Amino acid sequence: MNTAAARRTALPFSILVVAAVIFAAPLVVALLTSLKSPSEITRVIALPNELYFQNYAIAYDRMGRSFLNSIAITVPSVILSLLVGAISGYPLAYMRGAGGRAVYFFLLTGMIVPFQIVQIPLFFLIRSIGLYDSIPGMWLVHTAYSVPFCTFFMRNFFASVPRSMYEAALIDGCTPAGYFWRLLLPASGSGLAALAIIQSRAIWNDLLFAITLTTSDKATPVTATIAGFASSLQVEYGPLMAATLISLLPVMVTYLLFQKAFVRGLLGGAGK
Amino acid sequence: MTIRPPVIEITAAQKMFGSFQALSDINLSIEQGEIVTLLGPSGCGKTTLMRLLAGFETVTAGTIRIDGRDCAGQPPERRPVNMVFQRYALFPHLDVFENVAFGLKVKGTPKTEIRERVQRMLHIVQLDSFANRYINELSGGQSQRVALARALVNGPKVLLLDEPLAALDLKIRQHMLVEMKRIHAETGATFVYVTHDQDEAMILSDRVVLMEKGRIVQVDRPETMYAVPKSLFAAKFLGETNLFEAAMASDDASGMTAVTGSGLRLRSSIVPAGELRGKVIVSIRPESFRFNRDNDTTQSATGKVEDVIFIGSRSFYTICLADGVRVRVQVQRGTRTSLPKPGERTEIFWDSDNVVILPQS
Repeated sequence: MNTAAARRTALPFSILVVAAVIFAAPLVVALLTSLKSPSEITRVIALPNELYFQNYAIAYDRMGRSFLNSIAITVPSVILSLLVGAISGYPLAYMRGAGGRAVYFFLLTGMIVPFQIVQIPLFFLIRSIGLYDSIPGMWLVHTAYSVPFCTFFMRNFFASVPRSMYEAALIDGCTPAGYFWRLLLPASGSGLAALAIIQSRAIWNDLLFAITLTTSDKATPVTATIAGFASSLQVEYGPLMAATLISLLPVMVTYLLFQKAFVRGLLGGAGK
Repeated sequence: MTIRPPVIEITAAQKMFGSFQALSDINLSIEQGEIVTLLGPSGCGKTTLMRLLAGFETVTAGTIRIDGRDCAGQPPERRPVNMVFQRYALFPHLDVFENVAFGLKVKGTPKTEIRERVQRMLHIVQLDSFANRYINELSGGQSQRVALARALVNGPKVLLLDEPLAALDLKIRQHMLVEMKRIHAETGATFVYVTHDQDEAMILSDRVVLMEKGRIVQVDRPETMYAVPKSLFAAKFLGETNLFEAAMASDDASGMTAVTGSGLRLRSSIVPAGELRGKVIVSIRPESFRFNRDNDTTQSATGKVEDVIFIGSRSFYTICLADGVRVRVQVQRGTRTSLPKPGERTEIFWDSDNVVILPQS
């Protein structure tokens, strides 16, 4: 690289390094804190004198069941929300005329309703149908609440698939439903993967639904348990950070596994 | 000459999109086994006409009959047609074999028959060894062959091709045109080909359907359409031509004569499609001019060579005539006649059977 080129890239490179440090700092602090003994915990920036893994033991002991609950809530909720989003996005991507557009915009309004508005009515609704403090109740709520976004995402992804593929299938004798199941859905792996990552992250990290609609060990997800590490009298920083890091792992692993598909999906299938 | 039955009959077809008239008064008959090209500039309605044949659009008025059956209300899969799309429209998650086999699978064809038919079709398009490749592992030309195989394996009476070579580069396009002629000869299907590329139309077609603003302006064999365009649009759209503004002077049994403003008499022995009166346009192709006199019937004019452009196999001379009108003369490389140099005065010659007199609009 010549000097002029090096000078040109120096500024953007420096900005990116600073941004990376800013983004990585909380994670590094969390990692350091999780490895410190209670006596060291107030020295935020310093390295631990010795690695104190007891925090992880405490965290795992208290969140073990809720970790499984989170998996039991997240996996089916993601699958269901993807399925509903794809099924409802398909006709909206292929439908011509004002009717389709009206339905689409109506669905989009769902994305701008904050959860806090529906929190109390939802609590009564879920309790009245007998799904309060249950994992199926959480599936239902997460799936329903993600319909607008998943529809929006999949509708836009499907709209980026050339219409000629649909027409080629029709002229070959395929029905619109057959096209969806046999061709469009299998060919939309990158879009589905991207949405799966977005949804996994959102559902796994949800706290508001969790504290509103669950109360006991049989359904409480990990986020609600982690919130319990901080009470009004005491914050157990070491176990709290350890629990937070443990809870991050599944989402990070999912992202690392599917990051290529994630980027392709966000580009609407534009990549090869 | 054997008379083949028409496989497509379009009668007084119209297509409206809202208040926009995309097609009007389309009448066309296509014989079994023909290669017919729908040619015209963007927005002329050629793709709309093809989509009407495919069943993706319905006619606003008029009728379309394919293989003797009225297609009104018939969905694409019920018509004896298949289609090759501009961007191939291949299924990216399936390999070549599965792509070609898809239509047969949908129809519930027995597995052994599917295998036989797909292998035969892959052999025809010369992709036998590519059966297990995925679409993203193929070149543009290979993808186009898969698209052809996928459409033809279903045994359509009519194959619709919507600018199938538009995404390919020139060399591959030329090769694919030859391939397409061979595949057509092997399958015997009727090909309806949409393009805005006149060269493709000329190379491939038995007949060319020239369209402008939603109407058919001329249907002819390529050589006839090129030599005897019936309108100014046809003369200008197909190849290059010299156009002279003139007025009709005489019309007798041996031909017609038009005279330009400067008094240049242009005689044509070609019988026009309709009656010509008053102001007209005279079209003479660049290759119709020569620098030597051939016989007694030759017409001529004198001018000065302004410019010579050499483009490999041929050269273009710009000759400025006495009245300031510029004429392009094409000379094939290897012509033995002595050729004038830029700045020299020269005489150019042409024959009356290369002169086409056209109405002004």
